[in-house]
Amino acid sequence: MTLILIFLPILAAALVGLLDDPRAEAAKRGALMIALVTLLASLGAYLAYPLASGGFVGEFKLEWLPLVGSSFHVGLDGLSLPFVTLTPLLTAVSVLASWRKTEKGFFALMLLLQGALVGVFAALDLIVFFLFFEAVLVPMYFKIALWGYEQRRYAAVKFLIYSLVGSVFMLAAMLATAYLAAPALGRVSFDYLDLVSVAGYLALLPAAGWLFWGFALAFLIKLPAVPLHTWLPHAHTQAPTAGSIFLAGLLLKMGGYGLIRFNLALFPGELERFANLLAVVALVSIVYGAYVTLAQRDLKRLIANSSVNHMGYVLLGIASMTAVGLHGAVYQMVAHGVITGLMFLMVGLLADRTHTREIAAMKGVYNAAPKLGAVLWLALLGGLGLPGLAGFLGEFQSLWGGFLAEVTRNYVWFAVFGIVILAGAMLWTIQRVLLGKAEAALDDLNAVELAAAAPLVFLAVLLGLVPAALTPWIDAGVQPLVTLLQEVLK
Amino acid sequence: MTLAVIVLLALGGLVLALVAPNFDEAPGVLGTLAGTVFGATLLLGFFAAGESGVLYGAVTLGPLTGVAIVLLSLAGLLVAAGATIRDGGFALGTGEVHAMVMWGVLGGILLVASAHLLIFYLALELSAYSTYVLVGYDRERRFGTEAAAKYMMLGAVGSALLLFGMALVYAETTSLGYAAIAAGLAGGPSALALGGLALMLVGLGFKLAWVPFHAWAPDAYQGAFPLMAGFLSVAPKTALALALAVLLSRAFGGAGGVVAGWIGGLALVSVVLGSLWALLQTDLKRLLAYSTIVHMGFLGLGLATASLTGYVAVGYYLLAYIVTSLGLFFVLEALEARGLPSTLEAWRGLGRRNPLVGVLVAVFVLSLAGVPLLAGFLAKLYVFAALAQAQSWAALVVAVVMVVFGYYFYFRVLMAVFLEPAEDEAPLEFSPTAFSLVTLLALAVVVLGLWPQPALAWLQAALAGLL
Repeated sequence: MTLILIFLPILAAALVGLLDDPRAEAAKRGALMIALVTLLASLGAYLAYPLASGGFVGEFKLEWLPLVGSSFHVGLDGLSLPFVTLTPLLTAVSVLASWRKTEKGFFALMLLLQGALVGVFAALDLIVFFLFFEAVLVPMYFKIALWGYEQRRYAAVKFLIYSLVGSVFMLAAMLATAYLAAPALGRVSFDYLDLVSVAGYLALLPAAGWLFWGFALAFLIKLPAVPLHTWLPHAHTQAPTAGSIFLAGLLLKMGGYGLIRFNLALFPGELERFANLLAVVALVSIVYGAYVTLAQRDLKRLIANSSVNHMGYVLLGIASMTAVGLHGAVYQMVAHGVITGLMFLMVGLLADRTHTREIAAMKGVYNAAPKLGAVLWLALLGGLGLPGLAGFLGEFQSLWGGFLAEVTRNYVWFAVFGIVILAGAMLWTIQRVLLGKAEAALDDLNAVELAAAAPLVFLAVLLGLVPAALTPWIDAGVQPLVTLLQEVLK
Repeated sequence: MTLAVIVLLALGGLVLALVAPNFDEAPGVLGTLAGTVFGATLLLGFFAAGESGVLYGAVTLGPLTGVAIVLLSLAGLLVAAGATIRDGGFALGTGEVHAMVMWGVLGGILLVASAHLLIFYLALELSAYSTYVLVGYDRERRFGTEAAAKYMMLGAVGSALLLFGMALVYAETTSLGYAAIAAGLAGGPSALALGGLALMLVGLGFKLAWVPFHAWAPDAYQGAFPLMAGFLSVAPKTALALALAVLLSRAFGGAGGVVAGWIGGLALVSVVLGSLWALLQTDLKRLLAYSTIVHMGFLGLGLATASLTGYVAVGYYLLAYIVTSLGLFFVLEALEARGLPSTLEAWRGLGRRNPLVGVLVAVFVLSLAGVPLLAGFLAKLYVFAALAQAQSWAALVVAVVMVVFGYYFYFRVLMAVFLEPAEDEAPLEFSPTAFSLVTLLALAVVVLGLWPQPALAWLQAALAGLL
């Protein structure tokens, strides 16, 4: 099951690449079909997940590098399933959003990205995780560099270098963790479950702090947290619409997911030790991210910067180390994937029509194109965390979790500024872009574009009104970690 | 079996050299002959792994010799096949190329199998002289002659230092046989012996192009035909890396740890400075020369740990490097044969002029950079794992940071191929032979990266004897 979700898109990518298909008609249809098939499969896995018992489903383990102690181990639990389901969904949305593209390579890269991302979320072996974590970079690099906007090459290289710097230190930390844990395990193992079982031993290692930061650096860059965020505005702004959806919807989630999966589970003691620092970083990301959003003139860049604010809540929730905070962090990540994906989709479609991303050059979009305007309106409201839409629950829980914990409590007060400033930025954007009298006629959304937006609109509302569609899964994923946390910290 | 391999290669080379002038019109015949010989020795290599003992006190039989035979025959086989890329062969005669490659491979195998420093030296010279000839093969061009002259000059310096080092070691241990030297050094080396070992390492450093003994490499690569540069980048390196492992474990005895430390230092310097210099290159062959220096550095780091993981890392690294590096040099050869120079500028827009070749180039370049799911990644991973196992944290951190620099200069190649506009956008045809050969190598890179167990298990079994 898990293997199909990972490798079907990768194989399909190879096939799409080999197709003799000058207009990419078959390529895009094939990519959409693969995305939908894997979406159904992952949705099936999501719904069939045994919420009561928890644990990992669809586990697959194959001896891979026996001498090094790494096996190809993948599996899904409540923490990974939401992302594993979101990945094919956003692939389908991105394919629909790129319906006018005529290069088959674009769709091949999209499928490659889908497979690698599912691999990241499903990996239960450190080396396998690293493998997919890195494998995501190459298609994303080419997507930005080949199909992006005017400064695409600068943005692509910056994205690549930032990500790599983080991931090489993570690799060093992974190797060190496995070899330093060997005495406790009696053998070298990169298996996640093996290493989690000796988290107590790892906590006593003198080098635990270094190992923690080796992992954390990679994830904080990916998340991104201020001051490691400077790659994000460029990459998100310059990427093509489909690339921005992937970047915001899924690539950033690799950071938050990694922090919970590895930093929290393997080094809870270090997380507690550095929680104060992480909370400050989170607070700065929330406030500074919102403040910078206010200053943007480029609509796409504005949304990109709002992600820095949104991801700050994720880090705050994690730093609180409470069940509520962690829950909120995961909820916020999923909600952000849906809402920011929708924002980038709409802004991309809008920019295709107006041939500019300048906010000053847009006016009265709602008037000119009511459907597009309405969806963008909804997305922007979701971005400011309006109750009733998905973003509110995530932010609220993260903040509440932060309030419950001693170490983060004092920062939560300041985080409120971030909420207010971002709300201002979003409302001001609505006023500038959507309201007013239209100066030029705009084509409204066509059927394909509506089909791309519909699932995200549906999810944004569903997750805002019916948290039960996601909460039990997150509980199943987070609760064992909280238990582990309490055990090790004792 | 090993004996049969030695005889086959020696006689094969002789026959090829003798009959070559008669087959100038039909180079394919000689290529087939060379390919058959290498194919036979490749198979014999697997059987040679089961042997044991020492031939005439000079040539060790056993699994390690088997590994050397297999890897070097593979390189020879691929280069013999690669000689077909240039339609009509080389102006100076294609048969001679095959003969030199064959002797180069023979020298390499003897180098690893040697149990005696004299044999070691003779084998090294046999392999070196073959490559001197190959590097100078493009003598019509100024760079060709310059390359051969520089390479030979510095190669000779390296040989002289090696010989002097051997003499000092002999003075200390009064023996040239590995076992006797190991016994002589067992109680810890004297200053004299350490001086000898240091000089030997410097000599070998020249051949492996470790910084600071690397100066010849970029010029030699740039001046040679890409095919020859490809051979130079894999065969002598494979032989020397394995031979160094043998020396460390069988000949240097009590001094092994010290020498391993020196190797680690040289290797780390090569990784760092090689990566930095590679950033400045605009000629692809020079870039690949620095890339080889960096890869030999990574390999040296694995060697320096003198552990099973380290040795398996070296073996797998060599295998991965043979297919990856030769693949890229074959593309260069095919393009040079069509008049496209090996500069980054000339490669601009290659991905649009021939998308399939662009993808193949991407596979090789990404493998060199160490991108996961390709062979080059696992090679580096094993080296890093060996460093972690040896708890050499500083070396590990420096090495992983240099991977980032590596990405940067390898991605420059990909940027030229895919992103930059070409001056001439005309489609670029590739001959079917060249295309299928390069595709085969690219597939090997992918398969080795995804399913490495058979190769790893084989290497692990063979290299365990070094401990």
